[in-house]
Amino acid sequence: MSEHEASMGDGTVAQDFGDTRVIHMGGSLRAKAAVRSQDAGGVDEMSVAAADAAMKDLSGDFHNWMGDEVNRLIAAFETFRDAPPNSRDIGPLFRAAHDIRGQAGIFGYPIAAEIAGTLSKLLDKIEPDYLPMQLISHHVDSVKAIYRNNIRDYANPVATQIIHNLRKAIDRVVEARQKAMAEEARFRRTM
Amino acid sequence: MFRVDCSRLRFLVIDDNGYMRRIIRTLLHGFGTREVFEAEDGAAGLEGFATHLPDVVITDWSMPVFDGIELTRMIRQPDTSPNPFVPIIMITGYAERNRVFEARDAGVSEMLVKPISAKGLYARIAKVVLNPRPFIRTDHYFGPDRRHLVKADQYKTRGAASSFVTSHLGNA
Repeated sequence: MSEHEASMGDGTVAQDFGDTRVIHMGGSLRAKAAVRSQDAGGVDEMSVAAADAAMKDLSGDFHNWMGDEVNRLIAAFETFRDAPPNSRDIGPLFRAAHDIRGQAGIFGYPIAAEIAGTLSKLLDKIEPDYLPMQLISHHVDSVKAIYRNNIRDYANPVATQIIHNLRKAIDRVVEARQKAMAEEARFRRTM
Repeated sequence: MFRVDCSRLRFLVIDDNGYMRRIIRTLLHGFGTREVFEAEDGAAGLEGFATHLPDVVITDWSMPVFDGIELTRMIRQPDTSPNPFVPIIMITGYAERNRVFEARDAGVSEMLVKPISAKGLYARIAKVVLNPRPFIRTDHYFGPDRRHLVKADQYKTRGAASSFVTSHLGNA
């Protein structure tokens, strides 16, 4: 052990380099759970297969779960839209969209996930006062339509057209807002 | 070669979405895990962390009140946390580069972008158990080394260089 190293017990060793300390873990977790395996790359194929099978058993519920998430999105949007502008809380609407972005793919609705992803981006990047309500409404309606028409793959021409149109509309809104902010900053600098 | 026997590990899953918790729990049980504790927000997660002392924490990012990033920062408090070294796997819908950096800088060990798969989750668990990164402590950061590809030899080299500088030039 060099002059820069110190034992911290449990096989853990710390090295000091000026104001930086590097701590090499003793491997207690490894000692607890690592077992020798014949599987290439250390992947436990049997465990992964068992988990996949368990997910398949669960997947019978996914359609209903997706319905619950879509209803949550609709309710969050309506609450946001109907609240007085100075007391609107973007949080529940963002989280509902963000959850669909993350989960709809697992539930078998990747197109709804993509639409919810663009909605999340919109809600994240534009200040609540400048959010275009019509565009949010288009997104919510699109997710609802995808779910109710059980559109699950990209080969569906209606789905791809919806995604294309929404993306273009969002890019226009974000670009316009960024330009406005840049103009505002330039104006302030000249004051 | 080694694999991870998940039946020997205790997990804490923190996500405000009940369906997502159910999915993660199903995958973990599929891996053979018996001990899976759950919390539905960061505050409850922090309490569960202190109570159950999990081997691995799996958390969502976006949660009301107290999110996964704040939770990670609390867990990575070296002087107050019950286990600041615990592996933290963040499962999130965020895939943007700046978000990945933000999670890394908070002290997240591994990220997994939704939609998740059994193979993806197992791979992250295997990585934090079998090949954990060293921890770095500075005045401004405590957490896993943010450079993913650092080899043990580089630390030795750096140690040698540091010794050389100190012995030849002093600490000036």
